[in-house]
Amino acid sequence: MPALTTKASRKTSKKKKALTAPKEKEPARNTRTDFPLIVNARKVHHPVFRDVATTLRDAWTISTTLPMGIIFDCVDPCRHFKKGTTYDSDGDEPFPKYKPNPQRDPDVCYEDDGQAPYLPKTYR
Amino acid sequence: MSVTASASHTADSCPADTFISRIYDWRCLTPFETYLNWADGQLVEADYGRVVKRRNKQDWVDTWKTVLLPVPYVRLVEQFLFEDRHGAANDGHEAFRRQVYAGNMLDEFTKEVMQYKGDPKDFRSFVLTPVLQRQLRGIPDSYYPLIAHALTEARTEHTPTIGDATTFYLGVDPINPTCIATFRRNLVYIREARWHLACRMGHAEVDSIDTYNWFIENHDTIMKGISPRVPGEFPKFNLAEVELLHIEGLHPLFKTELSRVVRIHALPDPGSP
Repeated sequence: MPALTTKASRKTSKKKKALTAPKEKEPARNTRTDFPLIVNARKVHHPVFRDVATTLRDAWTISTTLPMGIIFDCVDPCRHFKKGTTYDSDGDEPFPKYKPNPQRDPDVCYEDDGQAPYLPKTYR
Repeated sequence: MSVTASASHTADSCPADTFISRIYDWRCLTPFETYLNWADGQLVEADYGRVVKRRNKQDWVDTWKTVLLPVPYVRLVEQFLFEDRHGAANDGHEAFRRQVYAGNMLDEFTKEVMQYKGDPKDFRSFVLTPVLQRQLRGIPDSYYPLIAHALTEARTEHTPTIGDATTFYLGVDPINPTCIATFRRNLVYIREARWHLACRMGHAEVDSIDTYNWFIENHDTIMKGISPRVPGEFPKFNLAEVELLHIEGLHPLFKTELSRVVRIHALPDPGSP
């Protein structure tokens, strides 16, 4: 069966595509926090490994066997569970999953709002 | 490494039911005097294990492996073990939170230890080193304003950068014995570490809720009495810290530091009549 389009017609269609105005790309954004990415090369003074202690260099070398997520804290110490949360051994997960507010910076602990650490006794 | 089967369990009494959050268990038998005074390259033994179901059998077996670890890591592992155990007895929010955190940390650390195949002396943990770095500066784990302040201490602007975080978390090796003096000074501000040492020394019970809360109240007292550091001078314990170290029974561990303070405060003020 003969082809419906010839080589010449394909070329013209490519040219037409090239003549149409390219779509404007949206600026790159950090999808996790929805904050704009700020890259300022003038703030980079030297390679980061100069700040790393020599004995720690091997452990923090980027490798294919370790996940890149582990940089400083592999378990979030700021993780707070909702007050009154009860342990449910029958559930799929004994504790409900942590759901941070997407409107807020996930790296900041808002549970105490910058005030002094609470006394757990009063929260029982 | 040696693998030993230390106990077996029937199907009705599987010990996995008692583990709320963590998979692996640890055994540490290091004397507590070693925890704040170790030598360069010193390693101590610790055992980790888990409950494994026997193939084609209805029972479970504890399997244990022995590893050599740097002393500060073993101290942290034992602290997390104690916090995990305390969470089973205390239904308070803070004890609950720390229990889950400790359990997750122990599991992550065990996975890391299992994967490591190098020289034990060169082992530096991804999981526990950040906690050690915060303890070295006397900063609690979960209080962001203090961590941010410590990150940007030497800078004029107060927005932590990735460079600040790298310097803070990776700039100093906390396993190095040169950090011992700073550890001994700043560990006073970490209530979990003080509570763990007191439990280990026999002055507090791991399951006691009152003792746990008492240490939290003591921590508030210490933080209220904190004074600004004089530049170029290694800060000595203030009177509130000395008093609490004695009350909590930790004074035998800090003999050297306390003797310096006593020498200063026991002498009469030369200006007084």
